[in-house]
Amino acid sequence: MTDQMTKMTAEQIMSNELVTVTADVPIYEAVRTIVNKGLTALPVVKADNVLVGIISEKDVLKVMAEDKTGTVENYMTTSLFTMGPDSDIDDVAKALVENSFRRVPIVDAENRILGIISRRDLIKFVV
Amino acid sequence: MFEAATIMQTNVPITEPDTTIKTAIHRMNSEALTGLPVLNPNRTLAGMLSEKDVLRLIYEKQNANGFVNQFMTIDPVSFETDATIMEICQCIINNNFRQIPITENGKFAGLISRKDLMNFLLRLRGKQEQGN
Repeated sequence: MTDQMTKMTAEQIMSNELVTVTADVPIYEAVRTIVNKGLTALPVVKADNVLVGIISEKDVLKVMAEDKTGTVENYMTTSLFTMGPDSDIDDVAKALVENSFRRVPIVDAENRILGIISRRDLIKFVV
Repeated sequence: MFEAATIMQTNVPITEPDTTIKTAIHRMNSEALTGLPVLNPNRTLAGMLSEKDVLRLIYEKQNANGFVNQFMTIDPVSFETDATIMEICQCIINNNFRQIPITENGKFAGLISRKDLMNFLLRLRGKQEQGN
């Protein structure tokens, strides 16, 4: 790990311009948002931006391949690994290296989403 | 049945095993690539360099020194151009891949990403809806 990274917190490098979706949105509306905006995932939120899940490219690809219908709630991932804004970037990088997920949502104590850190964000930051 | 060749991206950035890892990382970053196919001089596939490979390198090492062949994923899953799109789709879903290299007679021919598959399936769905 570089010295540059170990001194930073999640809040300092997270992307906070988030496009979110609610669980009751039809799944194909979420698919179009992901495709049209060039995103790899959408955080799913309820009132006050409280994070309830994530719907990813992988989730929607499965829906499309199997020609299913329904709402985001039916297909989102709800078992999420999240971190707080004060987390050390070193720990975020470790989580992204050791697990198969591509991004870590950053949330406050009430589970309100503040931002996301993706593999790309970390690489961009270091290079 | 639609074949891989109908949707694969053919004009994709590639790198070579003896390229410095710094050069490859800069390229991935500046061109917003999630993976770089690594080709031998005869255009056979030597490996794939993914965002995860790069992040592991950054996390585990102090410096990004060395060459692509030290950090790439060797012997990645690939399909020939006549593989069906649904076969590739299932492979990407089951293995959590971001993209799959496509070969023709053993030589690199292109890439298919999750985005390519999503665009294809959306178009297909649009046509089916128009037909109904």
